[in-house]
Amino acid sequence: MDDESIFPSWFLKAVLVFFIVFIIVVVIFFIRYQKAQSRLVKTVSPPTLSFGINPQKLKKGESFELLIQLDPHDNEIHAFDILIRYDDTKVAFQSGFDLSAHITSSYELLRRDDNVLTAIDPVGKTIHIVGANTKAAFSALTVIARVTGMIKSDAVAGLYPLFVWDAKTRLGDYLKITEIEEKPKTFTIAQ
Amino acid sequence: MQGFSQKFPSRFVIGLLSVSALLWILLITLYTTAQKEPTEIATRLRYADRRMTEASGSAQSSGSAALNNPPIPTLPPPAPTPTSPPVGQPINNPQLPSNPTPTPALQSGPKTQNTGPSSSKSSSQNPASSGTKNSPVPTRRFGGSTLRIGGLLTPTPAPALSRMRLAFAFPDVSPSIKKIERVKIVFYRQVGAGKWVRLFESKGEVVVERVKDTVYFESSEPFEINIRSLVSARTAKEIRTYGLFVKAPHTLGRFFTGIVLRELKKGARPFIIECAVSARPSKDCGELVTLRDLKPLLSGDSDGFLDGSASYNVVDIRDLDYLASRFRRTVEKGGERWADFDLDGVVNQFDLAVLTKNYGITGDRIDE
Repeated sequence: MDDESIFPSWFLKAVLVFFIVFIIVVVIFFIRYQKAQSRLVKTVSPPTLSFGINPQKLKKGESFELLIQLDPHDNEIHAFDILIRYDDTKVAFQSGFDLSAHITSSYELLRRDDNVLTAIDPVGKTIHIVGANTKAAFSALTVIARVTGMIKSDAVAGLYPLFVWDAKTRLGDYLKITEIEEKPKTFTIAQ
Repeated sequence: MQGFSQKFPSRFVIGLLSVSALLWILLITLYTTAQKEPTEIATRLRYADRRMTEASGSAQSSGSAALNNPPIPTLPPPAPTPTSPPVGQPINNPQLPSNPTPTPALQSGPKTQNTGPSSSKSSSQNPASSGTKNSPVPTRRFGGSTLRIGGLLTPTPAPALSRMRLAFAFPDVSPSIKKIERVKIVFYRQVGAGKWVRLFESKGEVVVERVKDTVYFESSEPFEINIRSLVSARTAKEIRTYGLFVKAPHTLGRFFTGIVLRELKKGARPFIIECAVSARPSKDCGELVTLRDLKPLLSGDSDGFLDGSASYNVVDIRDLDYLASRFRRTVEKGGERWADFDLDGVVNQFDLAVLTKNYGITGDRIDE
């Protein structure tokens, strides 16, 4: 067998460099490909809605701030139509003026004179919030709205589902939502 | 140097080159595959691509023959006139072509002869735009004036015609807009109590123009309706009442009933059913006149003519989401038109105000 190469030395070196560069490119490509695949899997997860509350322990006769939180989980969501039912035996909103003033947001809220859109309905015991992010899609866990209220002074201490999502709640392009809750979140009313 | 050459015999180098070539081919193949849009992303929808696909699919399925009618015998296609004004432009010149050609009618004919305008093929044009290109269309002298409706011109087999002019209220359109194109009209015939059967429709080819400084837009020229295409030959001479569903790409739909269409008697002079604002209304207009103000075409539906959409003909969260995704952008020829609810060419606070005003409102539904 002829072990001597017929190729000149410089050619052999060039081939070796070529092969090493190729390996590097392949490795980089596969890393990027794997990242793209993992992102692909993530976007299938539906968005979630959740409540937050300040303070964590509610007291009779004192005010609170309810946080409406949205985690889009990489879904493209620009708008929300939230309907929440509340327990009017324990929660009150200061009357005497426009109840919709209790609802605030750093995003665009749709308000109308007939108090049907972003509004609190004390008769139906619902909080309706319609709004949109006109700058960009929601990208991470975000507080999309805040509702201020008060715990009634005659409320009995304990653990209660003070706020419950209504099934008419909608996000974005009719996206399916998790956390429209099988088990409503409970809030603590301290003694 | 010789030592280096000796370390790598020829067979090894050739093998190395071959493997490298194969791996490069594999790499290029995988790269091009990864560039394709993933189809598994079901929830991360791109409105522009999706709506473009749906809208262009809808426009393509309607084809250049924008009307769907029961098949009827038709005359051979006429020779086109040498020139014709663009779509949407009313014919002001009553001069006749030297060789009269069959009358255009609000019906479909063989697709080959329908020289429908290019706007019917493209879903991307702004409804408020004008001056779109159009192929030459046949026209016919009738009582001294030529008749057409936005380019929907097909020959009619017999002079069993009603003609009408329509007007609708568009209260949310910007006052600077003088013309609305691509208004869809669908004719229905009542077959029972509250039951209707669809007869034929125009797929967004009707053009209406503003009446002075009002919220009303009316068809500038009367259009013809071949009664024979609406009913069977046996009942053609009957007088029936019809319903008319009207919708623009950015508005909710409205259904007007009580419209009477009569077949002209042989030799009778043609007349126009005037349902427009700028003329004395005919008693045959039904709700087109009596409920015109109570059934305005409110803006806010971003779904256009996509009647398969769950959000079609209702102003809801889906429309708000789409508007927000297109906020502060100039309307482009490519799909953003559905968020420009006042047709001023920009998606902005004014469109958001229109949507807020009409949020939750559903257009008229028809029990078919």
